[in-house]
Amino acid sequence: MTSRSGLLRALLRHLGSFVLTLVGCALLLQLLLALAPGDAADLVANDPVLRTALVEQWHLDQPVWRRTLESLAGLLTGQFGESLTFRPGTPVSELLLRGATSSGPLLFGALLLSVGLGSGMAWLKWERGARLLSIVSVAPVFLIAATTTTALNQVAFAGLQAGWWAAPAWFALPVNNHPLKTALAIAALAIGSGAFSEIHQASHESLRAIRSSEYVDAAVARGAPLSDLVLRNFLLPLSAITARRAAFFVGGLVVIEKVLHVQGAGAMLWQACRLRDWPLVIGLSLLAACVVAGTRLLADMSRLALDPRLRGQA
Amino acid sequence: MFSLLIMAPLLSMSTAGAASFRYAEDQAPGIVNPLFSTTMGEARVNELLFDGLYSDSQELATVPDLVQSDELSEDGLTLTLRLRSDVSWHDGRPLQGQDVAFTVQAMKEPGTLSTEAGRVSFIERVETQGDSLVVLHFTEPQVRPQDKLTFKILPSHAFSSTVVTRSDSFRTRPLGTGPYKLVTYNDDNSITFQANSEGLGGKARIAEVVMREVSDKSYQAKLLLYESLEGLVRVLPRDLAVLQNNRKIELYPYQTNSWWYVGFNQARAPFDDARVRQAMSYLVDVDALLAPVGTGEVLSGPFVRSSPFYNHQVSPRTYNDTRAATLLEEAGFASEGGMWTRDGEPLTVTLSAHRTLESAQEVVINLQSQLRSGGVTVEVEFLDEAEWKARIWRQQDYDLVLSQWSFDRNEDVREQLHSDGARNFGSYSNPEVDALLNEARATRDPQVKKAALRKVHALASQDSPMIFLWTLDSYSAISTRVDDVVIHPFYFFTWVRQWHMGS
Amino acid sequence: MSALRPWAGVALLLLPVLIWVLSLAANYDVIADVDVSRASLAPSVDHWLGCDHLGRDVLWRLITASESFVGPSLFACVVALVIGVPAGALSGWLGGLPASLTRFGLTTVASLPRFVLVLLVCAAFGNSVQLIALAAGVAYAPTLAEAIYARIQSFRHRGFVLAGQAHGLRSGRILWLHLLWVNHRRLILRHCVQLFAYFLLLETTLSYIGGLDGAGSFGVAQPDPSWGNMIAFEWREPQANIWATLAPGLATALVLLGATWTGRSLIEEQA
Repeated sequence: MTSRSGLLRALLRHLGSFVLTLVGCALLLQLLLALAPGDAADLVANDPVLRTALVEQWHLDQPVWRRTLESLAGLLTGQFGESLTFRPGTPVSELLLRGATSSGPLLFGALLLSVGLGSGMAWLKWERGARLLSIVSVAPVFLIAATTTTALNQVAFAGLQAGWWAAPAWFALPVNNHPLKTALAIAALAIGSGAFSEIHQASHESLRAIRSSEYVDAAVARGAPLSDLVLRNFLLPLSAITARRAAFFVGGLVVIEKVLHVQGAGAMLWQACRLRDWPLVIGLSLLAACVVAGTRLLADMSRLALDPRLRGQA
Repeated sequence: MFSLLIMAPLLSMSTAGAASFRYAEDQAPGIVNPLFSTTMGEARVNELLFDGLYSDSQELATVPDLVQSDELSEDGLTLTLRLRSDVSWHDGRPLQGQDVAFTVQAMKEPGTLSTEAGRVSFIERVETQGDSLVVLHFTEPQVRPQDKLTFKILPSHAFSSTVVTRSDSFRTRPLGTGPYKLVTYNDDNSITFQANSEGLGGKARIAEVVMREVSDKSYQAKLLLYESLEGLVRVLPRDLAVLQNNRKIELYPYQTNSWWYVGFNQARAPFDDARVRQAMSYLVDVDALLAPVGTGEVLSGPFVRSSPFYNHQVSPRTYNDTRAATLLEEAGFASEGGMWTRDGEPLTVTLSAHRTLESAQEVVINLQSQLRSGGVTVEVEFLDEAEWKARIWRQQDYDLVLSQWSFDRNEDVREQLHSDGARNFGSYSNPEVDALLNEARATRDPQVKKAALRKVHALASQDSPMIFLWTLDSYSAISTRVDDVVIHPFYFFTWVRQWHMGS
Repeated sequence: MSALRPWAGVALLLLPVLIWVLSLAANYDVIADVDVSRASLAPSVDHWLGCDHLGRDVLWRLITASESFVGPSLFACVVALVIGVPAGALSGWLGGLPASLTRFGLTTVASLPRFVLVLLVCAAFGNSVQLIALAAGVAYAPTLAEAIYARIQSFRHRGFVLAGQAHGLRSGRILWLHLLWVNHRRLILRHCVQLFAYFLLLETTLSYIGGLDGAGSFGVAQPDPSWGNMIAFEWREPQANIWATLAPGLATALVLLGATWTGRSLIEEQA
């Protein structure tokens, strides 16, 4: 078996597992929400006649197994349905796209910043900075975001009242869409709730393990360049660390979007949950699962690319 | 003329920054289509974009809006309307009789599943004669059908059939006759409206209106203070003091005919016993309950104080634990260790409140504490809209509810207090009250109606189907840069045409 | 300094447990403490941290709030252990198809972010702290299971295990006593500490955002105190006592810091 066919088989296996995971998620979600008592029809209809008609149109009176199978079949053929109560009549796929374009930059920005800062500080052995940031990192995301927003607003308003400056374009946070708000959101998400300290800690440990390993000692003895070697060996655990944190950031998106009034997929999910808009909830949750499983898939594939030893294990 | 039409949008764009009225909603409208509106935010947006056959004057009397003249037949079964000829839709096409016919038909159509279907159930069919004459045929004789014809009219040419679905593309580019037209849905869930140059009574004076979604109510008042908004529909009582002291903001009080209450489930023991209900209302100090919420007027019955139907001879109950004790003992309760018990069972009630009712948390916590010191154990639960309708309205599975009733100017309490009223989920039944309510509905003499309803007030106060709490002073807050503001207590924007921004 | 850190961490972590015991023993009545005449009082001798805008003592609410997360987080730990440990250990030990199927199930659950899963469960089945704890435990179980699986798999073919099997020790005894108890208890403890911290974070965040939206839509509802809903309740008051918002925030941050230090010290000793 050549290394190339081994690579291909491994790739296909990972892809297959990605797809299966998503199908499993879809099934889990459908079942969970089909079992839920209470429905969206009550939110819309004030009179019994309308309520009955809506229940019928939205298939809310069907038994659980039937609803699960029907919507699963719909999902597999790409039909996500329509939003029932959040934006009545709007196709879920349209809302998913809108949510993804708003939240995507936030998510990937935070992921990059967090991994970059965490692993960068570990690489450069910048202990003091890391320690300081780790202490800040302990605070929950919502606390960091809310405190910073209030502080900035108060300072700006005080200056405004005293006549020192005119109202800045971002004032008042968090209502206006402005790069500062996005930057704040990315920073809070990247650092808060232990995100930074976890990544830094994990990077620190792997680097320490690598730097004290035998092959590095051998390289030092040979007089070979170190940083290249360490870097190549660090990329593997780094991709694993990134993949592990992806789920955490996707969950954190909901929090940061609610606190900072960003109109993205996270805030949409929260509102859809409150309004019992199950088609939209399922669509958004699957999108989240897709991102998480997708990051995992990318990490697995990059490991396959980086570590020849893994390819033979098809 | 043509050059003015070209210049107008350019002018409005260049001064948009200065002449833009920004207001906040808790929740952006889910759908902009009057057939499917469910929230007050959507109703306010509809007010900007659409008009109805009739509307309210600033004295809250019904006046013609899209109608030029009307004539009610002797038997009250037919109303002939002549529409105004100077009205056109946002796309320039003129308003026609078939638009009215289409709107009513779409609302009635079972396939549309309109939330407004009930509003036109009294209309049997609509007939058009020519472009501007419309004849409405009613299912039974009507006294003042004009009061019920305030629903918004939709353009028949924008739809392909009278069966309209929620996914109809109308929601993305709504077309109305109103003072504003919808320009864009923005990425941040805000909506921009621009003044309609073809509108009724000329163009609205404020060039642009922007609705912003600010889900955190605490931020809405802050944004007004920071001058990031020009208007706030409803000021939270806790923010009143701060806004009042600010010279750049003006508060506009309005009367909403809405009052808070604690309702008893009279189908459940021990609340089927009037003495228990009266005793519990003696255990509540309503003034202390109101204090952390805001300012308002404590009530003794089911009307607001300024209502002609309010019976001023009935005074609100004040805290009186001796009287409460007497009543509870009469009902078979005994005080054991400070708590009221009967047959070995302590008196424990569950108080259900609406999750989204502002300040409900403060009232519930306070009420729980008061009743506890009076010897009644209270458990608290907060329900969302769907749970409320299911558990309280349909299943009537509750002990006590804290909620609020809102009425239009007719203040028709029949649904709440009549034994077969659709909203009487407390199962209140008093034949004398029923008779008086029937009398008030049937009579055409306002004096007879007043006398009957005042008696209803007295009886309701005595029977205590609910503890009547208060009506809150309601205020909108608008920047002083906006002049000639008059607010509609429900729809806010009804008279927006006359508002204008000073320089 | 770093030698003291693990002990400081454990101290900070034990603090909420201690105040939980204190709050259970004390008579503080969450309901009866309402007194509007004391609204937003500044700290004084009678009220060390002052009062909130309904006149309730902030310090006592701070202490009582520990009931919202200490008990439930222990429940979440139990749930995670009951699901995660057997799943990870058995799939690591047995391998083959059962392992693949179990791991597939766990991966599926792990693909949903934990916060999202908890949110969905609350939206579907109503809001209660016990439900949140159950959902958090289920959501965390895959992490625990994966960690145990990886190590059991690597230990499976070690010398001492083979020796034990050659001596005729039953597989179950080897697995549960020799492997899990002796070699993995620190790992399991570390994960429990992480779950405890995670649950505090989860409950505080849910109560905060839920409190902003409306009474108790998610998280702990008033009048029961939670560090999250205390902040949300007072945040918007114009005349608020600053300690009513500052104290719960600081408390949360401190406990989380303690958990981080404790968790880290458990790793270091292991290495």
